[in-house]
Amino acid sequence: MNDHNETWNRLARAARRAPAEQPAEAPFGFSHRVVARWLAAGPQPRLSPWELLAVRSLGLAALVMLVSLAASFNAVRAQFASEPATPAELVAYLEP
Amino acid sequence: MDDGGLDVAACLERVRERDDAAARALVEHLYPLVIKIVRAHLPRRVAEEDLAQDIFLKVFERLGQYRAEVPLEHWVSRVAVTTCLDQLRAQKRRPEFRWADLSETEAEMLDAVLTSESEPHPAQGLAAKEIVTRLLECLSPQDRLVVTLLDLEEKSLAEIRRITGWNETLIKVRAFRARQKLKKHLAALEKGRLK
Repeated sequence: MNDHNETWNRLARAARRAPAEQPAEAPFGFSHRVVARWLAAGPQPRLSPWELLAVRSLGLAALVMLVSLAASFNAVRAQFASEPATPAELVAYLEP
Repeated sequence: MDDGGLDVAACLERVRERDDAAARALVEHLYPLVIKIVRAHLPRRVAEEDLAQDIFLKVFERLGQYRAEVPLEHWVSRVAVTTCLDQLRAQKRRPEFRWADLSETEAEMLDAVLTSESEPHPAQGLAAKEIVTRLLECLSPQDRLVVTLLDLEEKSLAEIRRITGWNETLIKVRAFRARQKLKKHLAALEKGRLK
């Protein structure tokens, strides 16, 4: 059995020495074609006014929700204060 | 920043204002870099010019995100490599590579590599390149990318980290696994030769 590590290394070395098959200059007209496509696509689309409004509304709604939760936190905690927190408390709570 | 006769900073400024002459100059300036990456990572059945065009369009679309914290060539290399990687992901991996798939010249060349200790003749470089390409097609896109960068382009770990965004440990682990897989494929290929 061959040492395939060495086989791979020799193949890679030989491949590295292979002559470049094609030139590295841009083919004739390439830059014109690319730039024409880019300009035809127009500037990067920005959000429409409705989309912008929707995004802002979403952020505002999240903020209102957080403020409401913070404001009513004490009331919510008081609501559940009388309820059992541990299994032992639950058993005691349910026992007649 | 003046680079090879092109004032890159001034050119970028004009491209951002959608100046077509500046955009063309930038394409001509970056083409050798982009085409080198494309040729090294080109999936089969994808025309190199089409892929190069996609890369340039991405570069123009994302130019607003380029902050000149790194040289433009580094940023463009990364866009080019990730675009090639996406193309490779879309391509189905070759399940195996058999001795019967080799041309006569390739079989002769590989036979010499497997049976002797000597380096292949320089004239066999193209055959070696073809065999290497087909072996790499048996790997996953990420494995293929890391082996190409390390073993064929002889990039350092730092350079690969910059191009791919992967950390050095991940690169080393991927390279190790990829070479293990290559060894398996070479062993299977050799079995085919002995049959």
